[in-house]
Amino acid sequence: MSYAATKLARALITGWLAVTLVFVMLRLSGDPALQILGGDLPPETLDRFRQRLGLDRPIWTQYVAYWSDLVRGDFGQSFRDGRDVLTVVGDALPKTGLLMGTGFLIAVVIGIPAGIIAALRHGTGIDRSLMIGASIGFSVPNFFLAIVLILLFAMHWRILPAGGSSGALHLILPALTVGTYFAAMLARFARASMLDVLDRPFLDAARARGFSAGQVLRRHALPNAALPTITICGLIVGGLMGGAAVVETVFAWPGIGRLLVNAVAARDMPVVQLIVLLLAFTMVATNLVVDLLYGWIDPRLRTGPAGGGAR
Amino acid sequence: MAAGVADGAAEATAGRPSSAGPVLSLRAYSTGFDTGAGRLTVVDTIDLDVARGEVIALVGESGSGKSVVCRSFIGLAGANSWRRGSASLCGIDLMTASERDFVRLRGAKAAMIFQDPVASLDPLQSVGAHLMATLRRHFDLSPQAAQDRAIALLRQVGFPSPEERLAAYPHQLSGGMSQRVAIALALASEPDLLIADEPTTALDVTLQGQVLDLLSRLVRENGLTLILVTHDLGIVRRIADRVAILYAGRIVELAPTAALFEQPRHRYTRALLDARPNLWRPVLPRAIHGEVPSPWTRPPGCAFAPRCGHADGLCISARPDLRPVGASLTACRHPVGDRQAAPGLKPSNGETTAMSGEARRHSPEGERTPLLQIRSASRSFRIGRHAWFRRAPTITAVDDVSLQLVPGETLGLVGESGCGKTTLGRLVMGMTRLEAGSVRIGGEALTPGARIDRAALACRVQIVFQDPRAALDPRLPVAVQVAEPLRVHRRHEPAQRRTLATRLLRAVGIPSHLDDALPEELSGGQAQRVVIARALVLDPQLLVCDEPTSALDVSVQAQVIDVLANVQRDRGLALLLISHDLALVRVLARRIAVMRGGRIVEVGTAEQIVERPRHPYTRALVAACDDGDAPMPEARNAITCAPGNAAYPIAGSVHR
Repeated sequence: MSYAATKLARALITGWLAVTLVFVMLRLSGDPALQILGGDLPPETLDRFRQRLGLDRPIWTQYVAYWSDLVRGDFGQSFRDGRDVLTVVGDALPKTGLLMGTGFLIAVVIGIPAGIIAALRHGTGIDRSLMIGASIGFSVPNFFLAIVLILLFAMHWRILPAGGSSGALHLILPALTVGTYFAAMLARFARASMLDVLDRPFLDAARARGFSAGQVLRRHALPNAALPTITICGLIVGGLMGGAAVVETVFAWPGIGRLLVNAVAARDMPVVQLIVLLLAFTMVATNLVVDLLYGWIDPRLRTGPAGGGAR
Repeated sequence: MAAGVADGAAEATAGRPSSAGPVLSLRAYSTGFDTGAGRLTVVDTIDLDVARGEVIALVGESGSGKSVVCRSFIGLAGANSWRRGSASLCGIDLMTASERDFVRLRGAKAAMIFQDPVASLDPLQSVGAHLMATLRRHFDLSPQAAQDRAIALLRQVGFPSPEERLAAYPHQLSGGMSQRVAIALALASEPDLLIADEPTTALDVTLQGQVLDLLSRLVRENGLTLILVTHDLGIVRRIADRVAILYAGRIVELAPTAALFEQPRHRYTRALLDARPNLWRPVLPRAIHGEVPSPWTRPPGCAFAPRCGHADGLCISARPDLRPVGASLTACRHPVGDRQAAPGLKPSNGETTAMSGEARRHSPEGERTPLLQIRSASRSFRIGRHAWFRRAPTITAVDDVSLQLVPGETLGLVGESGCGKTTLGRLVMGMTRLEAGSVRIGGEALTPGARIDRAALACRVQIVFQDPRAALDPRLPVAVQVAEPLRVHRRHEPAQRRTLATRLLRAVGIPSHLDDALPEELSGGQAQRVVIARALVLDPQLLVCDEPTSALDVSVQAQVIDVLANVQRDRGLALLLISHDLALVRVLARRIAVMRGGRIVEVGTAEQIVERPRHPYTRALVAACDDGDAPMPEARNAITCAPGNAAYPIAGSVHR
């Protein structure tokens, strides 16, 4: 089986497990009828509600129905306002995409070059100051940084809005909050993997063949250091969606993070279910992309072991 | 100092075959590193001229500066290095060269081959990508022309079907093939000077010969000049025209190869030659006492004086300069004279025949009950990942091996990397599971599936590993580590344990002031002797030694060989000596088993294996280990027919 097909098959199995886990968790978390309607209603009302949701049927029938709904794209209606869940989540998703995309971009644009520069200037003042900055960015909690930014830019200098999503200016503070944390994380990892590669003999060998330090960096050091960094980028993309809850709540950003928080508070199970499924899908998809990227960059994964392939 | 430099210039040209302008010229050249602890001098005021077309070997042990000098003059020694003196390459002054100048010079004038061939290739790039990038860096070539040239280069270094190799990635190449690719890469830029830094050290013995033959052929055909940096005097004899012996950062002897081997002048060179086990002379090599000085602790006078039996007060206080003695230039105040017997002909006094004592004491093995009896032992391993719906490919590391060892006997187990010799040693130790057959040690029997009584086994069999530093706990004092097995097995009182441990440490030659030292304070040779002491403390009947000298400098290897020979003689201990080095095994063992691809291909007395090998592989191995001091012309060609190492797969049979 080829490398890509193996990885795809694995992603499909992981996806199936995740979807099933969501089904089990939501049913384990207690009787939805009681949770949503409360315990002081007459039993007939509760029964009717269960009937309407199909909760009275055997568990495997429910599981089949759950899957057939998923396949048809029918995720039910929000308990709160009766709107189609797909519409509710679909409205919030682009907002989160915009915020997280910008945050990720900031993280990559700042974090990776910072890590590379720190590694190339290993042991110097530049390295140390960059790493001190990264440690601070890494250890300051998201919500704290968010509040500090709001205090400074929105309350003190009054140059940026504190919340909402109506314009490009509104994007700056939440994206910075998200970006800082992940930039710090990326900088540390990029530096570590770069230092690892800089010790490898093939860099000296390339310099001995007459390539300049810059050429060696571009041709050999960076591609090799990219491998572990790509893994971290994948984890970050997965974590961005999950981390959205805090930042979106603080900045009143109408994305799925805030939606999730509100839906959990209101026990709006269909919305929670779709968002959790969406998070699981993001994780599986980014992992698949990371694996495929790895295979594309690293011939050791694509081709056979020693003696295979090209022999 | 100016006069001294001029003298050096005159002297450095002595014994050179050609009088054309030198490719490389070093004058009063020093180099080292600026470290946090101060300025470190690694190479100290050396003069060296390398003539066009010659092969010169820089020979030295660790810390001698042999690699640093080569990296330093082409500007690859690192940002914290410093240089002094003068250096020129093809007439270009290297001392005033900027990094930009070096980028222009590297490859074009001087190319380099590194020790670890696999690690010197970028794992993400194909062989073709490596070659074509290098070619296009140096020459204005179209992609098609570069590819044609790359194919020609691969053919030149001995790939039978170079077109197919272009697409191969480094992980698909064996060590020998990688080194050929590295050589092709070095040739791609058509340099005047080729620097080969330990080019065969990471390779198996049979491949070493092939790579050396390839290098000398390329030197001849391309009019190259070669600097061969090595610790191995054996390979020097095969290929070099001249030899420079480095010790503690200085050239102590510079001589034509034949003259050096026939009549070494410096006491260190003489001692170094005597310290190597000789394949054709089963006598104990003569150990050089003491250790190689580190660049931080070099003696003020002759650096070798503290280890030299001929040193006087002046040797210790004043540094000798190179002066002509016979055909050599040597920096020794008491050079070896002409009248001394030529080396390698007869054992001088003090040398003892290692196995003669054993041979005298023991009757032929048939009359004694074997201590170790291995019957049809097999062990295989899965290689690679388990694929879905398919069994993972396995490799049979030990394949139906039967061997036996009587008490007090030394059996040598010889083979190349991946032949299964280490796995066999681990089977005997009970460190890996038997799959078939049985291993019987004394009364104890190991069989597949049976529970191993490790405590009982440990009292009978102990092991000495290759890397002594990795085998010692870095945080425990030496004597405590040696006594530890006694504590684990609850033998003796605590005070008595320490006494026993220190007695053993004295027996292996560790002075008492090192009893409470940590392993990091020991040299490699001392650490290995501590490991041997620890292995002996339970008074085992069998000692498994897995490459016990491979990680050590040549001059201290003999110390460890000495200790093993003494242990064997004094305690009547049986040794299973696992090594790739036939000469080492020959010195210590009475019988030798040759292993290849998981199987024993030949067993015989040491003498028979070396002098009358029957199996073609044994013949090839003998030829490969032969340093050229014995008449065996027909065996030498046996191995060269194998292109790459296709004829010698990495390990045993692979089942897919």
